[in-house]
Amino acid sequence: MEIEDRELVSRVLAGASSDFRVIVERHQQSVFRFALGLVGNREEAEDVTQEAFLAAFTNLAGYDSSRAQFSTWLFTIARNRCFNLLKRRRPIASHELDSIADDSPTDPIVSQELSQQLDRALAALPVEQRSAFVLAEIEQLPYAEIAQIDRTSIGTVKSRIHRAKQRLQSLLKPSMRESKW
Amino acid sequence: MVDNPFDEWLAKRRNVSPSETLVDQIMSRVENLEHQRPDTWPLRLIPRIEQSPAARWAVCGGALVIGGSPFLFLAYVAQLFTF
Repeated sequence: MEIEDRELVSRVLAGASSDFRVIVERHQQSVFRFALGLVGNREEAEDVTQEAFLAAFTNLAGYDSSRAQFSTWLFTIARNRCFNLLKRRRPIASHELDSIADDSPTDPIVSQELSQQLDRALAALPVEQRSAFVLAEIEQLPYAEIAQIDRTSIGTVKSRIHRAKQRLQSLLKPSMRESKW
Repeated sequence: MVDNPFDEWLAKRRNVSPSETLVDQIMSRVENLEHQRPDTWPLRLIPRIEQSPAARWAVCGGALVIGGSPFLFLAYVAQLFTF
């Protein structure tokens, strides 16, 4: 049976630091995907993921399981780290974006170019919209959880996601505009 | 099978993974942090007490003995005086 995050947190706080590995293994992929969606390149996304887990480990005693799920708390830390990084950083040039299209260049449906175009369109979104969009569409989190992570209302989350989709559509080629989202 | 290019792109985004060494890198930094941190055993004792019923009873009993000791002392001293 899978041990709950809350139980693992208690164990780590009680001195079993090695149990933190289970937490990292469980959440690293989703935190990385979220960071990649926000910062746009793998190297920085991995750095942010590492920093988020280290911050979580350092402040583990401050986690309150009655207020939020552990993953929500972790996403909030990762989000703040990404926002700090993006504030410090100059705007990303499109050639610096790590496109996931490179993973399957022979895809029959989506051409590499179209996938790269979507990556660029995502990177061009305002950061709040990008965060809400990634959490909703890629991480598939419920609106209530996204609102908790973004510290805003559910209504604002819905409107950010809606505007993000509209903006992505408007930035894409006419061929993409025709497809139903 | 996904039915449009946007869904295809989303599906690819959902399958993105970090490098295989990321967990080890994080854990190595966590271990370094652990070594640098001063020993905080009193802090670590708190969750242990919270988890174990026996430890909770022991702490309550200890608190009762410590809290009641001035009264026991007074009662003992009072025997030595005649009023």
